[in-house]
Amino acid sequence: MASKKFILGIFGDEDILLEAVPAIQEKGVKIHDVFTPFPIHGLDTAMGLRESKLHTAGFIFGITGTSIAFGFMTWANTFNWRTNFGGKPFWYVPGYIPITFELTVLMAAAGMVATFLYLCRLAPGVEKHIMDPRQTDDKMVVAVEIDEHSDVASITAALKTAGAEEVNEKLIDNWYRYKIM
Amino acid sequence: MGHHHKEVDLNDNYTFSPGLKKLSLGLMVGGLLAFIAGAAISGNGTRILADLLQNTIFFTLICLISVFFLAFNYMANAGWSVLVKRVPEAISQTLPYMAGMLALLMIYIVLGKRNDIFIWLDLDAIKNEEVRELLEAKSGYLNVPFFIARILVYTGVWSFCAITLRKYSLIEDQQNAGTLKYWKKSTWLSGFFLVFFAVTISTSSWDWLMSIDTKWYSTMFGWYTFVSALVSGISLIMLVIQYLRTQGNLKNVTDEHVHDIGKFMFAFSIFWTYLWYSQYMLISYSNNPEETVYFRQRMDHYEVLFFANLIINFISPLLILMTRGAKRNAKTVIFIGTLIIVGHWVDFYQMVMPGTIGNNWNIGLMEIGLPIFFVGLIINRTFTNLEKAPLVPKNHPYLPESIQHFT
Repeated sequence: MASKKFILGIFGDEDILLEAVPAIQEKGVKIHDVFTPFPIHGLDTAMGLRESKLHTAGFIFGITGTSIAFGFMTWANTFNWRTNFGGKPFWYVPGYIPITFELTVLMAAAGMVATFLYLCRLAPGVEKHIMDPRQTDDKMVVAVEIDEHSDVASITAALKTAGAEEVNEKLIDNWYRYKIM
Repeated sequence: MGHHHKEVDLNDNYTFSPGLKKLSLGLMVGGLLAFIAGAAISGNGTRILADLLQNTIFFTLICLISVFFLAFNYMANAGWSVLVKRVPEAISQTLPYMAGMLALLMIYIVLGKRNDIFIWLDLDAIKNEEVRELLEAKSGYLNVPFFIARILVYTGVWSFCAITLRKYSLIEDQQNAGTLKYWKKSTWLSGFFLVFFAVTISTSSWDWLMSIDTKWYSTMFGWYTFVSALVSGISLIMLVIQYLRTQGNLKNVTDEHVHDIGKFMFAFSIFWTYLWYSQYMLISYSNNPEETVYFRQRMDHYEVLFFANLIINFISPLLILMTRGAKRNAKTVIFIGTLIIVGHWVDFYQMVMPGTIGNNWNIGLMEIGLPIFFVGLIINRTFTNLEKAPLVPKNHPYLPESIQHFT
């Protein structure tokens, strides 16, 4: 039953936000995440996020699909149950390509969706955390995680000077709770 | 948009360095001499004509793709490409020369009744009754006057669009800032060009390439030729951009723009493979002798090129260009761009040769000399035209969008 505490800087304009994020980080404040109602180009570079590993997961899922499809057809048609289709060779690679391709795409797509849901805590049953309801409407929220050692006053000051319209505190109980739907 | 404001220097003029000019002329002279020497040694008229045919078509289509690139960016209201737009513009100015040579060559072939290139040119010489009847049925389309009319229309309209799009773009530079007149005119012309191009890129490939194997046909052929040219043409644009960046030009072009062109190279390589496979698969699966003969000949007698074609044009771009970093890396894209152009030259080689020179092929002086000549010509014309105008189209309405572009 871990609980987490945040200081939220509420911003109303993405241009101010884009300049605020590096300015806040320069003051030694570690930003937990930024929540915005729409994608903001350049925000990930401003936050200094590392490149997503999602495509690596996609590649691995894809190559798994390739191997399963190709391997299964090879096994079935060449070893397990040889069938003569219009005089084609039993191991007829060109004929395997469409199904191999389809399974590659299917597994890559489905696997990436699952990975994405897992990474973003959006999977069914996972408790979702809303920092501020306005983050889905017209405000952008910069969340800074704090604990008992944090210097709340200086974090608040950093957010304010960077252009936050208001600064709130938010306590989230049960950060890791999963609930059955 | 406070964040996006950066100091932008829009002065960007290229000077054709004497070294590169000499190199381009050297390539042209050397290539031509090699071709003439190779032609004299071989003395095989069919091989000389087929070589000319393959290279002229290939390099004409590469230059044509630059016009296509400009046109689809206008039609799609694309902003990102504005900063690199002068490059395809300059490349497309080679098109009139290439198209002129192609038209002359084709007219020479058809008026000379060269049935060693196109067997449909001389129906009386065909001994086989069945084949003759088949070709007579096609003679409503494949006949000399209509063929000549078609090639004049294709090359004429393509060249007109290339010259006019460039002209509008240069006039736009002279207008007051914010004048949209020539941008609108370019968009209308692009629309016309795309419709015309969509039809003629198919019909021209039937005329010049598919009609070599007159009895054989494939509904994929037009698309296949188009994409083969498209991916090579985009690679050429990439190579010129990379060269200009090493010369300190195109200062505002960032890795983001390069990344987008890299995506085109990657995606269209995959699309080419898709069409290659679709053509192969349907024929292989239905297994009709009159259709499989096309691949049978290539797989038996052009085995090396047949498989090299797939490895160079599919496996290499797939594996090398897959990651984000690779598409943004100058060395990688230069390497793969060169590889793609060579690979698709091989692709065109195996489209033309089996139907003309038959099974005994050989890559000699002549086959190497002619592409070198055309590369020299394209370098010479492209960089001459790059020198003529500033590299930033300063009055293009989407210029600010292109400067801020990131993916």
